[in-house]
Amino acid sequence: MAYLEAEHLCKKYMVRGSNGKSFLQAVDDVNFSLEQGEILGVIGESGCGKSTLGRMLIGLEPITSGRVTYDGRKLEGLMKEDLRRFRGMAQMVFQNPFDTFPPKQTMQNILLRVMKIHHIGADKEERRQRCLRLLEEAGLKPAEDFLNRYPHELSGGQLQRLSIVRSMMLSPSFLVADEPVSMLDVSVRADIINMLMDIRKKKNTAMVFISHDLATTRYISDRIVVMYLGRIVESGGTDQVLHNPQHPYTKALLSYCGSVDPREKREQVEVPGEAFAGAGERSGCSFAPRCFMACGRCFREQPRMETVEEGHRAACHCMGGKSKTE
Amino acid sequence: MRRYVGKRLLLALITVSVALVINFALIHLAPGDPTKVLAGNGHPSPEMEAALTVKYGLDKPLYVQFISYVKNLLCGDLGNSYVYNQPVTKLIAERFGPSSLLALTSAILAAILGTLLGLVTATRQGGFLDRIINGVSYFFYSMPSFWLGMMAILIFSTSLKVLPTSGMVSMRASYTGMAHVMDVMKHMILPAGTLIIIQIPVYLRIFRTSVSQTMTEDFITTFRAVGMDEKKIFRRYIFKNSILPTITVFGINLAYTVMGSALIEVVFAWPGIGRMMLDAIGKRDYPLLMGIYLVLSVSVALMTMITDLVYAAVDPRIRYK
Amino acid sequence: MSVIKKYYRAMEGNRALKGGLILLTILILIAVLAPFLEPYGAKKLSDDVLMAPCQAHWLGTDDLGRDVYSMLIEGSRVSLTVGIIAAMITAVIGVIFGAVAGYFGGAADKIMNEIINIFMMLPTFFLVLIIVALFGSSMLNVMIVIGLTSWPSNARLMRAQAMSLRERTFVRSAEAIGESRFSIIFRYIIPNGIFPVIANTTMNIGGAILTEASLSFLGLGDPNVVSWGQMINQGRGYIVNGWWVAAFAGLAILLIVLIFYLIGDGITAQMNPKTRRR
Repeated sequence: MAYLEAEHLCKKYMVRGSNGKSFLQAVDDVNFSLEQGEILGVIGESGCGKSTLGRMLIGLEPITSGRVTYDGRKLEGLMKEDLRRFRGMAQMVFQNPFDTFPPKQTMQNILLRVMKIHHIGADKEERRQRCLRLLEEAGLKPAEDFLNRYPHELSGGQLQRLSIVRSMMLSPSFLVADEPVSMLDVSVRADIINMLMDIRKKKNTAMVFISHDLATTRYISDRIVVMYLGRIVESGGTDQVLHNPQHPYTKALLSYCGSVDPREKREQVEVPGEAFAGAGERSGCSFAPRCFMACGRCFREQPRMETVEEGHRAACHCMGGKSKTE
Repeated sequence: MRRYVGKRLLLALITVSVALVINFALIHLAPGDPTKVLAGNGHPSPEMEAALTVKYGLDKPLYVQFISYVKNLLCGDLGNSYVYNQPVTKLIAERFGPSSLLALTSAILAAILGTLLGLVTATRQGGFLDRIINGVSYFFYSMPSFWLGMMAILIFSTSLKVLPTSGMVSMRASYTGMAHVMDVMKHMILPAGTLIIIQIPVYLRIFRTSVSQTMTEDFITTFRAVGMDEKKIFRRYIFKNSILPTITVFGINLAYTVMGSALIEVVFAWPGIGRMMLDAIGKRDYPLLMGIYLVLSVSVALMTMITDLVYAAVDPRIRYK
Repeated sequence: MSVIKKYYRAMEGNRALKGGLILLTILILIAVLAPFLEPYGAKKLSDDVLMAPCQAHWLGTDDLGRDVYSMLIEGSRVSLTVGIIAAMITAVIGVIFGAVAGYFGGAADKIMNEIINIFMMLPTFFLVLIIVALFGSSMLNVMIVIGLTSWPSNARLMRAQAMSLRERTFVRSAEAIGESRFSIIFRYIIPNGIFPVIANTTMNIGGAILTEASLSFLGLGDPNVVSWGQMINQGRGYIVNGWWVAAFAGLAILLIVLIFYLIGDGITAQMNPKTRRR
């Protein structure tokens, strides 16, 4: 049994339109498993539900249906039993480092508060010492200086590092990184990514790395999952998915991203239109309206995940060159 | 739209019910025996106590009492006033007209005049006229209404002797028809005038703020860029959008309007409900007080509901929420 | 000292706020130092009944020979105390109510919001009158009752702030860290959303002072203290030949309320980046 398992996760939002109530399916039947020390990359465009999924995994967003288990124990059960301990176990690094911290408190206040909540350290002085040590280890020197600052006085990279330090203070066994580098300068991104990988190596933390950038995801992830409009359309080992993409959407994404492997020549795949998450039921594959390989069946029947090779699956009717026409 | 009306009606009903419960609670929370409160008298005779106890079921559990209170109310029985020794309902009915005349006239006129002045200042922001009007408006906004009324009497009635000192009609003559109307209006100038001046600043500010906010919105800039005539922009878009908060404020202000006009009624000896209520307080005429409060709550709830409906009629967005 | 300088510079161009605050400081000094500033005791009766403003009595005397100027200074204490405390009560109740409603959302919020709406529709002034009539007119009662009836406006403001703040990343991240909901409301939501409430509370002080004056005018204020509203009421009896009593008392009320409205407007202007530099 894997460390973290997600089964048939769904999230529905009720939407009030001008012609009555309807619902928006933000996450639709997501399944995956994660081992300790493994990093799973989640790729997709904006609005595909990946952030929602991230929040659902650590209980920041209520689950409509499906379940999440940690070492076999259900998420709801863990939260009900001891919410604080669960929070110490599963942490999140957010997309916007500039807004992650409360604007009017010093970093010392913020960081010490975390320790206080979780009863780490005997008194303020001890906590402070711990803090200084952690900051130095994370490369934030002089640590003393950082503690006295307010969030608005620090740069994005520093803030994101502090965010990671704060989360790791609790020694979580699971970390969700929700687009941690999207808002940072390119030059700083590598530092943060390396920091995360370092943590994985030292503490064996399981991670879910959410991003819309293939290059960074490829660098850090062991396995990858591609999402489109709330559903997983392809999953597998990083190399498998990126060198042998099966789903048309994955193919399209890769064709735009030259930096994955500049030696390979790829044709640009045209994908017309925009992903539009309409409310209400959908019949057939959600990518069909934009798909260059779509056939009649694609509009009628929702494709299911099928194995392409060992550990690599995709949900498409028209895979493997054989197009099952109707 | 129908759903919206239904919701508003429900809200009004709930508000009145809350007022009812508060009324009831007050009777029973007031220090002293409820019978004394109901009798309006500090020391009712034993027969009176017995009669009241039976009538209101005071020896029965609270919820039964509440039910009989409500039953009495629904029959239109608001009790008897101690001071006037007449049914409360009759007393209120007599004075409802004059109060409404004063309150509504001044509220509506204040809204119109205030909005007009707001219009003037909004288009001339920062100008000389704008600053003067704003300054004066601050002044009147901070002024106690009853004081202004007193000063007005001092100046216009006592010193200049151009307007009557108090009351709604001239005591000595009894006019009918048109002359009567004129007489009432002459008496209304000072009290209504005071109320209007006190309320204008509210409407002036809200309209002015609202206009300056709308004017900076992007869609207005787009219209200008396209070349639409400035006056047309104003009339069709800015004005219509800015008037909405005014309607809202009118509704919210109603509760305050009632208070303001009550104080003015005292100062000008205007024969209205507010004045009667304040007298009743002085004389501890509890049945009358409770009755008036209830009637006022119902009136304000109704007026607020009407205002909300007007708002919904003007702003289609509300209807579909 | 540098903190004061920093704030002073931030208020550059905001004449309302600066002027208002200076006047407020003077006002508070007057109220605090009242006993030393009154030429005669405010309650000291004398034989100089109903004297017009003159050398000895700058603002005249009332029908009991009391010096109007002294009475005005004394009355500032009542107005300030009632105004500020009532507004504080309003602020505390309103902020907590609004923050809880806005942050929790859902059914609780719907109910709480309707409660706010209902309360705003009730004619609260008359409720105040009835309560004071029934329960006594001490200054404490007056303050509490005014405070208990004007909180909805603050609640509404705070609710709107809470609703927008709860989507902010730092609130989400506080949840992720393990802060309890109670903690989040008091450490994150309220401190960051309180600014408009401060402006509104300042206006509420002005409103509370007017309400107190109205109550005293109607004879329902505390009879043991000197209150400006009370002075107007008394002065009304001899308005024709002793107009200065009522007139100056009213002016005093006007000025003090004006100060608070100026400050309130100044704070609002300060918060709006579009109108900051004028």
